[in-house]
Amino acid sequence: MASPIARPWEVVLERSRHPIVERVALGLALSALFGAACAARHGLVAMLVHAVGVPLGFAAAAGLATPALCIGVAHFDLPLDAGGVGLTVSRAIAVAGRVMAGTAPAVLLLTVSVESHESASAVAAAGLALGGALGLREVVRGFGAGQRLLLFAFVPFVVAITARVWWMTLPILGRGAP
Amino acid sequence: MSFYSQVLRAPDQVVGQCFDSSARPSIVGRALACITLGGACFGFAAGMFRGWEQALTAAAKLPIVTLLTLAVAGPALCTIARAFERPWDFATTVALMLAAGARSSLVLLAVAPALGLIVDSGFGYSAVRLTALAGYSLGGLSGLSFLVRAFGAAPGRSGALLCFALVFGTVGVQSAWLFRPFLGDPRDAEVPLFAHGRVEGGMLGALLGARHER
Amino acid sequence: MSTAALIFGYFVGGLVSALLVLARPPARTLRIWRSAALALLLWPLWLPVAFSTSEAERPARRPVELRISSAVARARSAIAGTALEVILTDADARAIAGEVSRIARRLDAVERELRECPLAAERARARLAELAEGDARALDEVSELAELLATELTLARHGHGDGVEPLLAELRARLEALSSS
Repeated sequence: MASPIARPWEVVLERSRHPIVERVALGLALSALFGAACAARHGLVAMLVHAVGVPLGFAAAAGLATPALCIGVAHFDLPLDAGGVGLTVSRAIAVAGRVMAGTAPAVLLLTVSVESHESASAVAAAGLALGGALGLREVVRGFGAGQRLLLFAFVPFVVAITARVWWMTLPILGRGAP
Repeated sequence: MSFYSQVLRAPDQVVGQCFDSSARPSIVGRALACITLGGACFGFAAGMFRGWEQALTAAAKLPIVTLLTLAVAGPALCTIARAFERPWDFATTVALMLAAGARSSLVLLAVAPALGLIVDSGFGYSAVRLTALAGYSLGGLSGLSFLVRAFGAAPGRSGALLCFALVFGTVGVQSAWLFRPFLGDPRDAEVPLFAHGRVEGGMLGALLGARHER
Repeated sequence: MSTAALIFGYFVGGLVSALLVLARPPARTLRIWRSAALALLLWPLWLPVAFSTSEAERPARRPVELRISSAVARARSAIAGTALEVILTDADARAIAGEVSRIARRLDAVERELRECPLAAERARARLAELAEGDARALDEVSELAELLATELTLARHGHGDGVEPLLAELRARLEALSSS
């Protein structure tokens, strides 16, 4: 009988030549679908604006927080190198993007059909929160049980950056219809 | 054992068959039939509150609401399951979801006569609405129990079910809202086919009794 | 975008889906038209299922084939998402299904021969009948092993399955013997 090996994504890594780039690109592209869906209520231009804004949030959070996390990992001499951190974060973006793409049809129906703009904002925010939460879950799982102390700083920082970028770039979240 | 018995008595076997691509078309076809019949009967019983015409209208609308909810929530279930280490392909996800819907709809079919009796006994709108809600909730719980089995005992089941329940519940409530009325508001002299044009503050507003014409 | 636009878009999607379903197989049977009607009305739910199995190309399957494939599918679902997943992979399942299908088609051909050639020499008929009986018995044994394997893997997932390895080895050995016969 074959010995149990690690989880399926680690099998995928062996076959992929640029796993980090591929996963990040996939996650960002899929999250753009969600962005377009959540702004369908406001027309094509709004859909394009949100299709850019949602992936921008992930990219900004990953771009700003990952180097800090790598430095923290090295500082505390944790058994995880920068490549491993990069793989974990890229996996998180891919999972978040995939979940958001999966909820895009639901968000499309809800934001188009609800009566008020406030309800549409709430739906969009909930979808962003769900995708983001499952992505962060992937980061937490990527760190071993004894390595999660750093995440007490990393997770709030990522949440704050992402929320800030989305607040700035997604009009549906409360600055009124674009 | 037929599918209709299996999905109630031995749901684990149906779960296994959903992973078999050759058995899937049969399962999906039968599940669609269950959803249509169960929803139609339950809708008919509820709509009898305002007469035959409303009964027929509700019988047509309720299965559409269920199928719309399943269709829209399907991609979410697939991606949420994958996020929680259940790498189901989309066809398997659809089969599992429809089988859960079939189980739920068979419960609705069972509850429909009781609802009809409540309506026929002259109970008021609130009582009938509450009974219908209770019946629909029973069906929903039964369908959820099927999905619990589908997710298996591996870690992440609760998280996956919670995430999916949030999506499914929200979409289901909004779909029902779009296709209202089913019972027929007693304040309406004539029940409209669809209550468009009314701003009632969404499902929450309706529960609080707010209503005005747009 | 309005709700009316969404509804219009839905039915356009339905029309395209129905055309895709009709365009695939060479023969438009009643089953294909039914599939197209379902695709028109319920394409988000029906299309994934319709395209995951090509009904027109699938020969009629024997009950024992369905039992084996169902047992293997249950075994796969019991270990999906766990470290045990490598014990019975998708490739293993496809290999088992392929071998079972080959034996079943051979059995179909032998039974057809026995039915359609009543005047064949008695020795030849006896030999064919013996082959058919052997294949049928072998498929029943594979079915039993597959069912046991599904049970053992379900137990193994909860930490109690000790019999997985011998069962899997026996199933593989049985299929290898059939493939070389």
